[in-house]
Parts: sequence; structure tokens; C-alpha cells
Amino acid sequence: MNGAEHITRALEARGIDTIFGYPGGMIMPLYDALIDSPIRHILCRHEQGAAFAAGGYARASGRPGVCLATSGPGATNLITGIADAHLDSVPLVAITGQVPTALIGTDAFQETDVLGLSLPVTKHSILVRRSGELPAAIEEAFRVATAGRPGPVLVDVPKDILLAEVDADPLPIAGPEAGETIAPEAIAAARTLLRSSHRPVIYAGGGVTLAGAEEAFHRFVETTGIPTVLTLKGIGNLPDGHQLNLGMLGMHGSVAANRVVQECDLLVVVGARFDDRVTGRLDRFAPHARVVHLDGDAAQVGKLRAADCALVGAIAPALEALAAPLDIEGWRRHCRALHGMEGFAASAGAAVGIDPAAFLRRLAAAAERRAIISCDVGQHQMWVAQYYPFDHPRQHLTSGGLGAMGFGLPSAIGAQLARPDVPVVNVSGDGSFLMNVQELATLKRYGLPVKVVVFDNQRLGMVRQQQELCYDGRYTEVDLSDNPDFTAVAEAFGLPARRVSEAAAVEEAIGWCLRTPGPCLLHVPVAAEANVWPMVKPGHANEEMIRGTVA
Amino acid sequence: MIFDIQMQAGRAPATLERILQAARVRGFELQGLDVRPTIDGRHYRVRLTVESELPPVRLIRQLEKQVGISGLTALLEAGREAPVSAAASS
Repeated sequence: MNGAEHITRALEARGIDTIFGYPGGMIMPLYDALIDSPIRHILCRHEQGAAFAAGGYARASGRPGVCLATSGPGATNLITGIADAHLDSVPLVAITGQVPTALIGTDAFQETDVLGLSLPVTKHSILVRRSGELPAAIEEAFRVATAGRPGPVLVDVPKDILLAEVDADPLPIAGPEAGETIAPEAIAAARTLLRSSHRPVIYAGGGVTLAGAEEAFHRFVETTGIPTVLTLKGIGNLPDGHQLNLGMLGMHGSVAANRVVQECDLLVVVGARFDDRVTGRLDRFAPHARVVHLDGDAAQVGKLRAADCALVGAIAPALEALAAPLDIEGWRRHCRALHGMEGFAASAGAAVGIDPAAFLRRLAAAAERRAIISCDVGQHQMWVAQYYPFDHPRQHLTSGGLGAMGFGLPSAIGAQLARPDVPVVNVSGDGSFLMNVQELATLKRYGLPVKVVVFDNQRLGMVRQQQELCYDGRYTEVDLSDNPDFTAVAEAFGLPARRVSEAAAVEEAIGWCLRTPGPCLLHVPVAAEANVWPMVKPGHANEEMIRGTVA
Repeated sequence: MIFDIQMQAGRAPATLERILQAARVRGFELQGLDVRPTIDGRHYRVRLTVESELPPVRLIRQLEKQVGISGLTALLEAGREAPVSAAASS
């Protein structure tokens, strides 16, 4: 068995059924080995698409995603997708071919130091220098990618090692590591803070799902009755419409969510990290609150805001231990009333054309409740976060940390392959869509029934909005009015496509989109002036929200 | 504040680069670096001296997460053998 065959055997042993990639010279032995493997390889049309697709697979399923690329440009093209996985803690294993060991360091054809390139954007990176190291390298890659706070691992394998004999079976698969148990004294201290609080708020993020603590979290919220705000990555931790769910906080969070955080006397932070998009001006965030910070990653606790009680370790058992009813009925009523009055506006702010908020609500009404929505990055991403109801975080795929345009379509492809039983919709914007438009060919090739919705304001909308509000309306390089005809583009790839430009036709168009067998595209023109409201300007405090007006 | 961090690091490609990168990205300026292989040749013994106004624990916790790093000890000031406790430095 050569090194390439060993890798396919090791992937099979780990239950990897689908991988994403793009072949090239130095990875060819692995592609040769894949011919004899039951693993399904999805040929994306760009390595970045392959990395995002592997990430989408992992985000939707919780299982590690795997992507392949050759050396040099193949490997460098993976980097953005790897960085996205790094910032959103997605378990991903990227395997790259490298020039033969004897040529490393000679500036050989398609040689890049991908190990060095990957260091800032991976949880770990491995260069395999001898064939004997390969089994341990593959085992370590999957163990590190999935353990604790997940993340991407890159394994760079020179071509001669892919071809060399490896005299070893795949190493045994390590069981999942349990998070460290939190000391009883720390739990007791948190309990004391909870009991003495009159105005507690839970601020929860993506760490809840990373820890597999969704059910414990739900029970904790319901037992304590604490009003809850969610980060972009935490959307779905509580079902939309839950009476204690006050929605998303932060730069484009609701007025109610931001206000209760500013008013609270205790902030119970669960799997969140005081991201600047959440806190606004940090020294004015939750100014009256003591902080209980529960996270599996010690590096996040106290990094930006000191915790009065730090709980580092396994999230679910800690939540179980802290779940006890609190006498805060008046505060709960106050929060509910605020949410009723100051939730997200009924309109995204477009008086002409299709209202994105209304569109998304109609889409939600027509789609299966368990549908997965994969966004790109920009205004449409915030509208989805604000207006689309999610019941579980794995339904909402979004590039939260890196904010990578071009994420949505390939991520939807990965999600659809991971969850063939669930409808997947990619909601994109005109700017983002063109960044990985080539993946329409992947959709078509594999007949994946992903529905693509393109909100088209012929602008880089979020940049335009910030130029309007923060740069006195001095617009520069945001005009995309020379966009191609998106329906014609889709049709050129062999996908059925329609445009809907009248509000009265939206319901029927959404129905067509969802009912169409296989992939299709719906082009949705929206007003160029439509903004995302409310908004906190960068660097401002969250109580300084701009509510905006309908254009 | 200048302080030392001592650790053992697995001898693998880019181990030291990762350590230095964590220091740079997290806001700690390199003042010194002493690296010696262990007797068995499988690890490095690393003494990293850095300067920053940020609490040392910011860097320590990032280094603790790196694969192959073990036995990490922080000394409050370079040359002073007084361990930094996480509580004192946060």
C-alpha cells in the first residue's frame, strides 16, 4: 500500500464518505487511489469552492469536512476557506500535495511553503517528511480538528511520500474528548451570582453547538427563565419565537436585544467571545453587568472583558448544574415588552422593489421548517439573520468570523451533500454570488437540488451603506450596475432561472423555486438604497443604534 | 512588562514559527529566544522573552492551545524565577 492508498483507507476508517477537491500534479497519486475507494469525490471548479464546500459539509453535519488540492496555486486557493473554518471553529482537514521532498526549497514548479502560509489560519499544520510519519499525521489531523474547540488542520504531503510504501494500517480512532469538568467552587460562585441578580441576561454564541450543548442550553434557559440574546453564530440556540429569545444583538442586532444587555446586572456568557461586532465600543458594553463566562476555550475567557466568574470546561454539565428557577418575573416581562416594541422592523427599509425582509418571511413560510439557509456576506446576510426564523444553529450557515464573500454557494453544496434529506437554499447578494459563481457548474454536474436566491441591488450594499452613513455619502467602487444578467448566467450553466421584480409575484416565484426539481436560481432585484437597520456604527456603543428610515 | 515563558515544544516543522507568530499577533514584542533540543532529541526546550503592556495570560493561553506545547511556565520578569499565576496576570 502506498501513501496515497493509506490516506484513502484512513479516511474510510473514519467514516468519511464525501470529500471535495481539485486535482493537479502533486496530488495525483491520491486521486489515483480514490478510483479504488468508495469515498465520493466532488470536483469543485475552484479550490476555494472545495474548501468552502468541505466547511459547509462540516457545518451542516457536525462531522469533519475534507478537501484536497495540489501544491502551489491549488494549496494557496484553499487558504480563504481554511481561514473561514478557523475563525468559525469548523472541523476541517485539508490535504495538499507538495513537491517531492528532494525538491522542497528549490523553488520547484508549483512549490509554495503552504505549511508556512497556513500557520495563522489553522488550528494545526503538518508537513509529512517521511513515509513513516504519514499514519500518525492523518490520525493527528482528525483528532486535532475535532477535539475541544474544533478547527482546520492542514496536512501537506510531498508526492514521493504519496507514492512510497507505507507499512501500517490506519491508526485507531480516538474517542471524543470530554471537556474538563469545572470545579464545584466555580459553579457555586456562579450560582451565587445568578441568585443575587435581578436583571440577568444570557448572551450565547456558536460555542453552544460546538460543545454539543444545545439541549442543556435549552433546559438552562427554560429552567432559569433568563431572557436570552444570541450572536450571529448563536442564532438557533433557541428556536425563533421562543418567549425568552430576544434575538440577535450587536451591530445589526435588534434594539431590544442591545438594550436589555445595556440594562442587565448580570451577563451570563455561554460559548461567546465578546466579538467587536457584538460589543460595539467595548468599554460601554453591558456597563452595569457582572459577568459569568462559560466556555470550553480558556483563551476566550477574560480576553476582552474580565469575568467575575470564569467557568472554563465542559459547557453542558455546567449548564445542568446551574439550572435553577430564578425570581425575575418583572424583568422577564420588561424584556418581553421591549422585544415586542423594539424587535426587528417589519421592513428592511425598501419602499420600492422587493422588500428583502418580506421576501425572507415568505421564503420561511413556504420552505420546510428544517431547511438549511446558506448565506454569503453583506446586507443579505444580516437580513437573513434578522428575519429568517431558525430553530437550530446548523440550519444557518454563515461566514461569521472571517466574513468571506463567496462562501454561500459552495457551502450550500457541502451542506446538501451532508444532508441530502433537507432542503438547502443559498441566499446570496450580487457581489458575493459572482465570487464563486463557477460552482454553479458543480451544482449542475451533481444535480444537487440547492436553490439559489440572489438579492441584487447592483451595489456592494454593505459597503455602500457604510459610505452613506460613515463617509458622508461619498460613494466609491460600490456600483455594480454592470452586473451580468443573472438568469442568463444560470441558464448558461444549465440551471432553470427566473427573475421576480414585483411584490405581488413573490409568493408564486418562491413556490416555483422550491418546487423545481434539482438546482435553480431566483433573481430578486432590490432597491439600491435598502439598508440594514438598526445599525451601530463601528466603534460606537450599542446604545447608539441608528434605527434608519424606509428609503 | 518584560517576562519569560518557558516551555517544551515538539520538534516538528514550524513549531517555533507558530510560537513566534502567536507572540507577534497577540501583541507581544520579542526580546529574546533561547532554544535547545532535549537530550532525547524529540523536543525543544524554549525560553521566550517578550515585552508587552498586555497581561501575560493572553499569550500564555494561546500557547497552551498549540499542539506539541507542554510544561509551560511563565516568569513574571525576565530573569526572575517567580511564576505568574493566571489570576494575578489577568
